[in-house]
Amino acid sequence: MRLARLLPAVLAFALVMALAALAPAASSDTLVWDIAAGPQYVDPVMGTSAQANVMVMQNVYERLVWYDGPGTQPIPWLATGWEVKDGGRRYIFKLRKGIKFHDGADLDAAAVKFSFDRAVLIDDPTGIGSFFPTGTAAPGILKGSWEFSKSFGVGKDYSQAAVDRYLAAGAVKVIDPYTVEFNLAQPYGAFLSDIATFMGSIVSPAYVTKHWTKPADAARGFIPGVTAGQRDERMLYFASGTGPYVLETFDKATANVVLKANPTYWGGPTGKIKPRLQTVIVRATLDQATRLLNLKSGEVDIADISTAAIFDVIDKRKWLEDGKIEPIVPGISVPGPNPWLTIYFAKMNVKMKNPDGSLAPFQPFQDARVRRAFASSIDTADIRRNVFNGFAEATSWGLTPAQFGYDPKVKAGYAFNLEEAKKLLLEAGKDLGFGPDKPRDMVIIYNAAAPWQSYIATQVASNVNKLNVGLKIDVKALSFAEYVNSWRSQLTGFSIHSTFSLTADPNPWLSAFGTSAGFWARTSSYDNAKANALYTRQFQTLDPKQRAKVISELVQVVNDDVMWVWIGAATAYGQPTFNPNVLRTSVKGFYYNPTYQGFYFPALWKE
Amino acid sequence: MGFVAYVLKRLAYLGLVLLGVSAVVFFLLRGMPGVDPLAAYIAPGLPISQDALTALRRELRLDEPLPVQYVYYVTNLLRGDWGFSRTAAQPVLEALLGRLPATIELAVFAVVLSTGLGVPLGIIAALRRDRATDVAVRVISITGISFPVFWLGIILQLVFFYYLGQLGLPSLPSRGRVGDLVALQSPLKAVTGFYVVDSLIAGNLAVFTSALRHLLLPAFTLSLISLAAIVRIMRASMLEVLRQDYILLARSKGLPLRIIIVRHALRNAITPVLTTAGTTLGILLGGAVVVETVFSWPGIGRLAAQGILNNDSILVVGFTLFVATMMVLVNLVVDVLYAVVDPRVRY
Repeated sequence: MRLARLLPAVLAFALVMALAALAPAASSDTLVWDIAAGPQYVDPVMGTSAQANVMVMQNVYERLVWYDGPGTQPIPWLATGWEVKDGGRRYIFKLRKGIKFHDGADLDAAAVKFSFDRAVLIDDPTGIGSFFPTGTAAPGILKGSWEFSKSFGVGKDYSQAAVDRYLAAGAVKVIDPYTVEFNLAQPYGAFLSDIATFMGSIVSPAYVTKHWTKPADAARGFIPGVTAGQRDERMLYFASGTGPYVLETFDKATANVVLKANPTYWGGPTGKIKPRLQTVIVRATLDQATRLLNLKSGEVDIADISTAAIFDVIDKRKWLEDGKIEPIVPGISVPGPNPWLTIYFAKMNVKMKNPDGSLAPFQPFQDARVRRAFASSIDTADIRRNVFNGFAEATSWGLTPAQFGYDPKVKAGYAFNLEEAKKLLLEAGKDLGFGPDKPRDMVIIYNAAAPWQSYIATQVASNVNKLNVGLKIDVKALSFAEYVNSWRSQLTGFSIHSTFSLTADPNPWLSAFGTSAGFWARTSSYDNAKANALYTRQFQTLDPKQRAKVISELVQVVNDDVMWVWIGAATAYGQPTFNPNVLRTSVKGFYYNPTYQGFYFPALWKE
Repeated sequence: MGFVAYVLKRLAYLGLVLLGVSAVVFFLLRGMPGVDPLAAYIAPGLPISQDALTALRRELRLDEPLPVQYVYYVTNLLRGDWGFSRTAAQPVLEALLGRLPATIELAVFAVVLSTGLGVPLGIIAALRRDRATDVAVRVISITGISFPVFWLGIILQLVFFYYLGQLGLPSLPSRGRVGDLVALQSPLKAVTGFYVVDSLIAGNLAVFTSALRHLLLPAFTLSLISLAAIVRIMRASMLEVLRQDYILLARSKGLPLRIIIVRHALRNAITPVLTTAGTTLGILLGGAVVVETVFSWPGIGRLAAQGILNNDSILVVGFTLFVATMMVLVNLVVDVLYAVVDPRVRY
């Protein structure tokens, strides 16, 4: 009787469970990928540090030049080739014929012009304006964009007159339906690799214009399809490119994306690229444990597994002791490790400030001996093993082996040596007014949300403190906002960071670390006239061999100043997005390319 | 005071509460010493020139004194402009409203589950007072609430999704609101935003069953938070009612126990449970941040979690205000319903 009373509940549960049988199973032409942070928007005119965005764009859109297989040198893609004229100030691209956008429109020179003009005119603060190098060494690349883009200056002018001035400058010109010319403000060695990124994506003008409305405000400039200085809300979630995949759905709420194979794909430069996966489902699954469970169960084919959790998937001892990656979960493959485009470093600031902006009285890092001593107090090998689980390799300067111009012969300005550090600090202390009998207090900050920084900060502090040279270092954890403010406003002398590059070309990093206007250098008040001049030279050198030589010279100059401590160049397993990615063994065709953001799906298939 | 006047007065209080909440949140976030609010607007490591930063600071009015900034902030709020969220790539209010149906659907199911389980368990515990069953029910419900929700969620996933699946048995999904392939093969047109309701309206059985299956684990995990409270209140309230004279009379008339409990005792004993369930619903509508994160449930709680991870303070402030509004409104509705359910309550 009692059991009978439970019957309805039992039946209901059984029914719900049995409904499982109705759920369709994923077929072998469908790939499911669990990613920690799903795409937020897919308009290539908006810059992003979220690689899921870029991953969608690199499968849906195509560029004039791109990468073939694992190569990191751009090759002709939508273009059949190019000519460089006027010492690198003019690039003329010939386009392939017969390529169609997903909306059926033809790819032509007008579409290329539209795409670049659109990027400049929308002028997103993180867009092409700020991505193409800025600063005194390189005031804009596309002719007239510097004058138009207000990413570079205060005061905005989005009037029709401003738009017309940009157009008249002739940055991008249609020569004939299949020939397009780019006019640059100055020669730029990294131009091709820059337009090979998602920022160089070619969009369908017909598609964009169809969904666009003319601005109601008469004071606002525009070209058909683009309103100056205004984000295109629709194109954040819709796309029409020429790529091997079509953006089928983009669910804003779930941040899930479905891509469908483009049935009329032109086949790429070799004509052989044919997407075999008919459907790709990218699901935002924030929780690491859920992603791992889904991967193990076979519900997903690829999952984003953070480096911290990698030993749930591979044998820890074999990796740390023998350097071998051996999966411990049946049915899972973990390709790698491979060089990537992320670097971990510490920076020293030679102009520490008070919160009111005035200069702090004690400036230890102005003395090169103090900088060298701090750098020599960091056991980078220990950090690479214990903090990054061995997924970082030694680097003698701020590039990774995946980048153009990486030169292992460049020497670091320091080596881990506590005795040397002690000697340097005792000497410097005499001039700076500290010593074992005259101790000075110092604080090293780190981002409380990044435990890896805490390890490094503690190591530096404890190593320097035990030298007993009169520097008493305290370690302070700051909230993320305080941490950013602290080094951005130069309140701190020593801070720990990581940075990521979207391209295999080192130019953005050379600018950031080596020039006084560069992002990291500026917040350290680093200024070396020789480095600035070398930077400009490499920037304008078109011959790769010559350019690589200048780059080596530049980084040696910067290294000798010991402003930066290169802790390690991240290596990756799988194809990394924010986290590396682990695959089921049924996924075939994978190859690694550090310039890819996530996977290039036409390369993959399932067995 | 008349009923309408009471409601109006409460709505006026709502304005005051929201003003207070907005002030606290605003000054906490903007007024903290050593924190540059601009940092929240720019992704870390993204190279951006000093000039552009200055322009952005001016555009966002971050160069004005704090009280002036607050006035701008509140004025914008009243105009419906809650700011733009980098995380959602949407205006904050639009992002929250777009994700609200998912949260409501989950919260309602969780409350239905916790009440559906809690009421019978509470009755059983009361009827078997101080006996083994009573102790067992109480221990189980207290244990349920004592486990951290994220852990419980993962364990339930492990058992009902992973192990059952590995054994080749029907299993429950680990994440999301509906199966990916189901959603692709039988797309659903949003009417109410509640998948269970919309699929019924459209007669879309595939989505209906998939949505129901997807609801089970997260709703059950969430229900355990309030289950213990409901069991205890139901038990106490039932014990109270069982002591009443009319129950004694009913018993002495020889009515079967089932009739006494269901027809006479339950209706009187359940009022406090409904209050608890209502308040719980209010709390859950504020977004079950942890459960939504573990089960990738696309509601406002998961959005807030992403916002926190992305240091998107504009979204986090908006979320806090939104939740405060929801809480005040739900409390108001519960108070009003009180008068409807219990004739003794007058305003």
